[in-house]
Amino acid sequence: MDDFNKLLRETGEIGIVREVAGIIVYASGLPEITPDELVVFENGNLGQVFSLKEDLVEILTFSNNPIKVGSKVARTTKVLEIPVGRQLLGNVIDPFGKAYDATKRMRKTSETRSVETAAPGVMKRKTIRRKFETGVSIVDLMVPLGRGQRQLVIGDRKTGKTNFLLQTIAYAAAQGDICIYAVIGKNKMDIKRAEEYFIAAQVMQNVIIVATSSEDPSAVIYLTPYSAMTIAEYFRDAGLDVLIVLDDLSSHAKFYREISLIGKRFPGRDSYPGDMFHIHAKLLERAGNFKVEKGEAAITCLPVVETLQGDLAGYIQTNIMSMTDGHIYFDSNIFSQGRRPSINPFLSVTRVGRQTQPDSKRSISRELLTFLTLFDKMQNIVHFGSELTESVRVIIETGNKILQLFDQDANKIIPSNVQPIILSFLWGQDFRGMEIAKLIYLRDKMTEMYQKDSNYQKLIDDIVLKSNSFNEILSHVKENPKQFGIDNAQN
Amino acid sequence: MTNLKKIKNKETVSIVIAIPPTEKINEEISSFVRSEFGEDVVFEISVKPEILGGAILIFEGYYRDYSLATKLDEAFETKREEISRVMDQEA
Repeated sequence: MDDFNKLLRETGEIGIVREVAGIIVYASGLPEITPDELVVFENGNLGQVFSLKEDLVEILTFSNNPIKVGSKVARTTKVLEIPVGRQLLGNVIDPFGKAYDATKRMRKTSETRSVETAAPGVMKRKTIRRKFETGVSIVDLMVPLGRGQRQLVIGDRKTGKTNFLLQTIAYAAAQGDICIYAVIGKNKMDIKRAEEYFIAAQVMQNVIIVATSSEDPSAVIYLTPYSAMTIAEYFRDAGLDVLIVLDDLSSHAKFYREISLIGKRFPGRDSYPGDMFHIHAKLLERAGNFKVEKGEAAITCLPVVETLQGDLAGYIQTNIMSMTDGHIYFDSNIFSQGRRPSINPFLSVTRVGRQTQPDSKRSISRELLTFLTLFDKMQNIVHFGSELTESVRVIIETGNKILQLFDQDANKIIPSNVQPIILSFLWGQDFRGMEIAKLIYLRDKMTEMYQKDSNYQKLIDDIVLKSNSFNEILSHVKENPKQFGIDNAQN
Repeated sequence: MTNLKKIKNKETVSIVIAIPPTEKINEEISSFVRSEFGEDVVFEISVKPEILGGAILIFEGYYRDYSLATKLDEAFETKREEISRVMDQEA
């Protein structure tokens, strides 16, 4: 109450609540208030100015506690700022920068930043040239990503999107990237599960989880991705690469729709407000590859959107697809066939990732896509039950092996340079007889050796990075398979 | 009813004082309001003993605190040492 009276004296302005509509409150007075300014109510609740009407100020409240009509409101003359700094690493926080679990203590940060900032202009950006590895074979080989890319992760519910994201975050954090996972309006068990996953993977020290649950006020849920992006910008300015995952923007859109409808905004398509595109565009434009003091730093953004029965033509879905540099599509049909991750490489797109790949991987990606298209067509022929020629049989057998090789557990990470070598064993004529179980064993063994032995890692990296095409990698593998830890071609 | 309708759209000056107003205080406040804000306003008086003295004025969203309690708080903040010395001497 003392702080409230102090604010009244300092600003010389006061508002009186005239109307309460759920989370939106209309107050009279406050003659010189500005949009997006923070206000404080008599009971200590915070709010933010949503809009300015002729006689009333429309305020979005950040608390579930009801505000009474007749309550007093004071200006703060500040916009919403959150604490940013390395002290946030390893913590689960709310969009205001406080510990999500009220019993946990957090160290104070020395800096605060505004949640709403304009995206940097074109002169502050750099072309995306560095690759971003997820550790998931099907993505690194067929839908490659670059640092600073905004890649949408889209699919129906329960198709494995979150598992893929957790896997990607764990891999990026293990490589030294700062990872920020924004959990937008999910249930508390999901937040806890994510935290436990990162602790078990021993990467929590490089991860920040910005979380809101579905029972938090809509205004607070609305803030979540903006707070996460503000924290990402702090680390970017410090010269560090950041991965930010926004899970998920379709829920975020629904909560913003609720706020807008309560605020009597005119409903547009699907009852979403007219500024729905702007709400997400201003967020996603803050990601990218930027020039910083210490050279170059990227914010790689993976926004998530849920579809309904595979409908990619929905309003929010198409909005986000147009704002991002590609999408990874999780197909429920592939999921029901038992394949994990259930990524459909034909419906997935990467607009920027290929320019970050070396020539050898680009040629692998082209070959794989061509081959898998052919494999898909062959499978349709097989359905007719006619006799198969030898070549068709080989295509189907190879295609099945590739799909089985792409199957990857949620807790398994495969370094991107190991993947082309394994593919060479599958592809090469000399190793055609190798069974899939053997290939998978070889993959796991090579992964282990790559992670533990720096000489082995250098060998693999040199082969992949210095080769100009897939055929060159195939020749290397054919000439000396033993160097990769295999005794002979058929064992 | 006609009288209530007359004041419906008039601006309200809220005045907070420390003691219940007497007839004399009411007249003084009334003439003050008329001279500062014109004839076309309505004023309402509320009593809050915690302000100790003076008044708080609220008009069209503007807030002016001329209360004794605030003046004392400010004095305690700016002249803390001087006041402590005087109180020690008195003691």
